[in-house]
Amino acid sequence: MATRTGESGQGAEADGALILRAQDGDSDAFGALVARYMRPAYFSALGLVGSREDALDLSQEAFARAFRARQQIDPARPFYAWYYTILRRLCVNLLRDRRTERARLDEAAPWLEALADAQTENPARATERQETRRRVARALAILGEADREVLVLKEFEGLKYREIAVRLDIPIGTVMSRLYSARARLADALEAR
Amino acid sequence: MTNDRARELIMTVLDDEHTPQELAELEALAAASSDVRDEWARFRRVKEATRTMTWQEPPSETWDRYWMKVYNRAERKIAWLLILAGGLTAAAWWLWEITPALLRHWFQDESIPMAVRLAVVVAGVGGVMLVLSVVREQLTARRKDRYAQGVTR
Repeated sequence: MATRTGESGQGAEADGALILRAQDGDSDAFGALVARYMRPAYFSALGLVGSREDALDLSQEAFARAFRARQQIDPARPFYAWYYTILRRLCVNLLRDRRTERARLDEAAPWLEALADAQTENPARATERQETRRRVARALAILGEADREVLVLKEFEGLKYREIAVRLDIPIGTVMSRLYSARARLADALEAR
Repeated sequence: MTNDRARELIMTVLDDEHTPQELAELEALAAASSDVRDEWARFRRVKEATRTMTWQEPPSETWDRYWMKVYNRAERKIAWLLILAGGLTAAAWWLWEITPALLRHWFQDESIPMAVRLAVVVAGVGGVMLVLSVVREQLTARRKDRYAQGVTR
């Protein structure tokens, strides 16, 4: 699973200190922030755009924009939540611009993998897992952006409903209804033979 | 078909965000309705499938130069903006100073055929239109970029 993003407690305090140093001209401090969040940023983008190359490009572009705007960051607020608004906008713009290419990208670049149990896995089970992975990846690719985003935040980033609601600025009820919708589509995909 | 309450309960139980009362409520609904039972089982299979998935890791070197690439990207954008601003200012001054003299020479030199003069004027008009179009597009894109709204919290 992708690393959970520390947005509170000690993590937020450390982020604030790094932001203050970055605002005083210490670019290495911002580099430390990037190092802390580059993995969740990359995987969040990957979940949204479904292409490894685009995920890398967009997550770096979002950090570059954040770096240029560092004087406007509020060090008292969680950095990653703010950064995510930039990243999300870039991802949505890319999907809008390249909607017709998306299915091809998803097929071309598998970006999920099945967790294997090395102790008990046999070839038949491994094949089954890979087939499930393929079906889940394909189903995720055809979900609407809003449903897909909520599902990714829940299943692959491990956020709670409340955290998803705060990050996306939507009610918890909407989080749950989008999750339901996404899972129903996944269920259809997994049952299709 | 399950109702909205049953769906909500299935989600919270699947995601382990339920209270004991909610679990009891869902179990009661499932006991009373085969639709709820079937849907709960169906979603459990989905949950299990996604639980066993993870992101495919990129090559490890992806992370090695990640920050450097971010820094270079940010720095180069600023550099390009400076070049653009300086270049446009210099070009504007040059056009302002030089163009009248050039035009006078151009239209007074009778050795240049009229067709060539017109072609250059047409190309010049096209160039100005192109610059204005690019500038307008950039300004429009900036206004629509919600990132700018997200910067100030």
